[in-house]
Amino acid sequence: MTDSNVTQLLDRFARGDDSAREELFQIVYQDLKRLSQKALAGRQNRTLQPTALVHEAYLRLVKQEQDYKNRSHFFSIAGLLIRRILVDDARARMTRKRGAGEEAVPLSETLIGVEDEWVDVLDLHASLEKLEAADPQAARVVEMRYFAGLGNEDVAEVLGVSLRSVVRLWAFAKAFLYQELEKGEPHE
Amino acid sequence: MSDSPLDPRGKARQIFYEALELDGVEREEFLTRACRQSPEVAKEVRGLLSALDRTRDFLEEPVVQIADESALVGTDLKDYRVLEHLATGGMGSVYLARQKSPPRDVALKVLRLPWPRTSVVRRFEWEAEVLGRLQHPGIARIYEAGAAQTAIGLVPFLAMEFIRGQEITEFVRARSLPARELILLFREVCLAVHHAHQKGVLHRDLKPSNLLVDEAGKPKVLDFGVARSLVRDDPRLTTQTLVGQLIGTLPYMSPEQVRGDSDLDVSSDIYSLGVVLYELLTERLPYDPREENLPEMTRCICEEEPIPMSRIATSVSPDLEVIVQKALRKERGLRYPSAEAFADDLHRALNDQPVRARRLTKVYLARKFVRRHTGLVGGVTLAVVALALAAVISVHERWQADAARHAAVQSAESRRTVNEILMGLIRASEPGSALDLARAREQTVEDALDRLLPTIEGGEYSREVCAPLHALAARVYQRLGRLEDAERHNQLGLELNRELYGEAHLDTAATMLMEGALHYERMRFAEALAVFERCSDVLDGVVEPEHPIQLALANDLATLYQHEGQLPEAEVLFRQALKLRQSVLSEESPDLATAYHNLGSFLLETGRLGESETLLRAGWRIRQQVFHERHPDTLSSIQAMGTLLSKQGKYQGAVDLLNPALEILEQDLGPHHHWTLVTKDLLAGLHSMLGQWRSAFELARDVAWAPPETMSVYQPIRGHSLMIIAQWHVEEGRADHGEKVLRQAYHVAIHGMPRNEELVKGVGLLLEESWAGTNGLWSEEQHSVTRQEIESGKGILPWPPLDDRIAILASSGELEHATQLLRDLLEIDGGAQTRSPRQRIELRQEYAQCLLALEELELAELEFLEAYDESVDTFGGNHPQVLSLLFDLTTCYAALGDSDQADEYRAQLVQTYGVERSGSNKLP
Repeated sequence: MTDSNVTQLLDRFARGDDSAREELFQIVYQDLKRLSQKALAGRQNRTLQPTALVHEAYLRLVKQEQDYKNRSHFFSIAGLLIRRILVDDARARMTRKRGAGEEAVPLSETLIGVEDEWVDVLDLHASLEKLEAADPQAARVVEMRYFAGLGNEDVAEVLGVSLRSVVRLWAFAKAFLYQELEKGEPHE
Repeated sequence: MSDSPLDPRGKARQIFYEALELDGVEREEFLTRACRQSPEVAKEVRGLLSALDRTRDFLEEPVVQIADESALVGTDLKDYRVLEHLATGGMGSVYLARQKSPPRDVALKVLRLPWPRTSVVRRFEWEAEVLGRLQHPGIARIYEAGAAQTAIGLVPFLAMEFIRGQEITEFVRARSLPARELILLFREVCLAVHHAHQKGVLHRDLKPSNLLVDEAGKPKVLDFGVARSLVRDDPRLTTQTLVGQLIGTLPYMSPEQVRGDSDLDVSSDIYSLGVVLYELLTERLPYDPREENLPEMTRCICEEEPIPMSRIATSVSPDLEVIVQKALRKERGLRYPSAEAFADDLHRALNDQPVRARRLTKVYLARKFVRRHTGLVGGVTLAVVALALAAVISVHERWQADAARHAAVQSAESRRTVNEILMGLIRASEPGSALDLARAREQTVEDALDRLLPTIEGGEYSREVCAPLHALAARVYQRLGRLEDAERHNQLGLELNRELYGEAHLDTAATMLMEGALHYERMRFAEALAVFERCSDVLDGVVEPEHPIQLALANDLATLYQHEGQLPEAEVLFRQALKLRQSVLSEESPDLATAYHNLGSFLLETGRLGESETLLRAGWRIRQQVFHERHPDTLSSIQAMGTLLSKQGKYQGAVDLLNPALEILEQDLGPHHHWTLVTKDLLAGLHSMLGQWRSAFELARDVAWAPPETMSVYQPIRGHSLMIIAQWHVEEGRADHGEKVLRQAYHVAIHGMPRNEELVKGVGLLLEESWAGTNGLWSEEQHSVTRQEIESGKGILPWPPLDDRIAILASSGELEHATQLLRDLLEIDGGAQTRSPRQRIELRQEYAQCLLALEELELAELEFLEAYDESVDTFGGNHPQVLSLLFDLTTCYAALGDSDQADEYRAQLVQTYGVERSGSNKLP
């Protein structure tokens, strides 16, 4: 894997080539896995935050100046990555805690969100899967906005839709997910 | 996503989207109209809309926020109009903004928080208020902190003094600033950082991008304390997060910061400053990671030594090198205690004054040296001890010689008288053998002898009776370490024997042998050799070569040869003695045991451990059968075995063997007997090698501080014990003391008799390392000057080093002893007035502080008051000494419960402090 490789893939992806997106995702995901294993090796009870990992992955993979368009594309992938990392992490914690027996799972460890409105990562993940079935594009909007922090313009750019569509998709996704979560069906 | 009109969900979605554009009544009308035909769709749409109403902030704060830098430009953020995007860093973006009131340009930092929460923002506001109070020309002011609703959502922001300038690294590079000006500039940075430290604020993120130089050429530190206010207590924002986000910051982080330690202190900032200075001087970073990734860079910071600057930039002076090294220590305790101290040392370096970093560096290196050369240092101990043992054993030979002499007392009457006197001695002592040294220390033999001798000297007995009694007294005193008494009585005995029997007589020869041994013990080696040789001539005509006294002489001569380094001659004599005894004596003979023991000890010292062990064990076995456990011979076997075990690296085994022996020696011979001291020194060395420094120090201290007159032939062990004390100081982080004591050790090693080359070499190497000579940090010239100074004895504290002893005592918790010494010093000085007024005041203050610590409050009060009066008379009212005494008095009265007095002195302190501060801006 070289920088130019990543750059080329980003370019293809930006021009609308979805196979490039998948390839890029695999590269970045493998890289992130290696990175986090290395970073966590020998460190007990420490987690590297996904934010930090993705920023670093970006810096590592794309060392030269990228135009803004490519950056948005990169971070749209990052959204999916972060989602996956958070879910993996939360599952690992649940398994570990259950394996350990009596110890209760501290809320803060698997919850994300703003104060007073915590969302369980795994619940959110399950709801997102339902959303994906109902409307894959809406699910992508959530990934990009919520997990990667992209603005609506960037999302529109990456998805190749109008800004107005993004606003609508986002409203729908929020309403859909909120309803799902309110139903309170526990994950798994 | 097909919106077939037949699909109720697709239809519901379409209606939902359209309803989004409408509000209130319009929306309600639209919904009623659109869903008229399908209650199912109506339910779906209304469900979605009402859920959306309830979502509020749901999912609005992204996990990762990649803010669009340009989004804020041209908008208003509270009171600020955002003008221009300046930079984006790991934690957010910085904009140039114009404040409306007061009208001014500010740097607006909009922070990127993955999870902005109201509690984080509130704490952030509060911390910023504290930071806002940092007012120093070298620190960028923080005007306001808060959170504001913007185009990109709710963002926390900081409004700071806008500095138009360059990063310090660019500034220096662009102007090719000469080293001197660079240092002056950097000193100002240190002083600004120090100001904040004094206000209790750490920076935690010092790096070139936070150190700007403004248009007037003045440095400004940005973002003070920002890192902390963001990360504290938020489990998601650990230091690890920041490590990832701020990859550009990583090289400036201290090892403890990189490790994620939570208890950072000023030394972490000092480390970061050290990295910046390194970079300014060399245009490079101190480490060269193999890969540019997090784990590798982290490893470098925590483990690798910085690349010496001299290797990169030849122009960097050795002083600057050690200063930067000191700031970059991995162990935070070894860095500068404050940014001010760092600045001070830079100032010294500029003015060609000796820098403080040097002193610590030396001992730091010495410490590493000690670790590398533990074997050698141990070897010195063992050689010294083996030597001392040999001397002890030679003395022991006297017992056999005396036995022979007793047999030679010719007159029956004299023999009876001698016997009666000896019987009297026996009765006066504990049950058991009168000559048994195991009991000797219990005062009885010694007391009896002390009482008896005046009668002998009073002329009551004949010369025939007196001669052997003097010889006996000499022997006992010698064993008790009273060498002068021993010499006096031996001289009397020798004279009587010469008068009675002439030179060529066994009795005369035996007292000569003792004379030689005493010369040896008092380090008169030439005299000792002369006496032994004359004695040898005499004996050859009197007794056969197998006679015990011949064997004793062979042993003494061999010991002397050994001491003089004539090892082959010594070995021949030791082997001869053993061979003769093996042929003459039975397997159980103590004399044979002695011969085994002596040759074994000789081989031990010359490193032939295998043969030595066989011989020593053979000797020990006989002695265990013949003598009891407290017998000197048994003890000397145990000592030799202990030495052997330590040479074999079995330190713990040696300690276990020697500890009981030491107990017996202390009880029977007393704490200052040379034999006790030799054993203590040996044990001190063993404990030091086991890393048990406290025990090592306590034992070594007893040896080093024993009254000098008790040391006699064993002076090298004092040098060795001092060396152990020096190492202990270094281990405890008192490097200054360590070096001082090391100098004393060197002095003793050079001048002490007998001169032990291994000790001289060992201590010398330690000192050389400690002067950093091998690192090229000292010039050859500086080095040789200091060496001469040491060798000539200049710069060495007068013996005993009382001030040092007090400091050690106080720091090791032995306050009462320290207090006693201080009181004595004050009394002595009261008469002699040898100290300067300042020294006397300091002494009294130290004494009072000890008293205070011992809760002798009334006494402390008196002494503080006296010191206070003296210092006011001597220095005037606002001298730092006076201030520190005012402080002491406040503390003292508070301890006494006299709050009125405490308040009065505190008020005076504040008043004086004000005077002082306006004068020199400095408080002690």
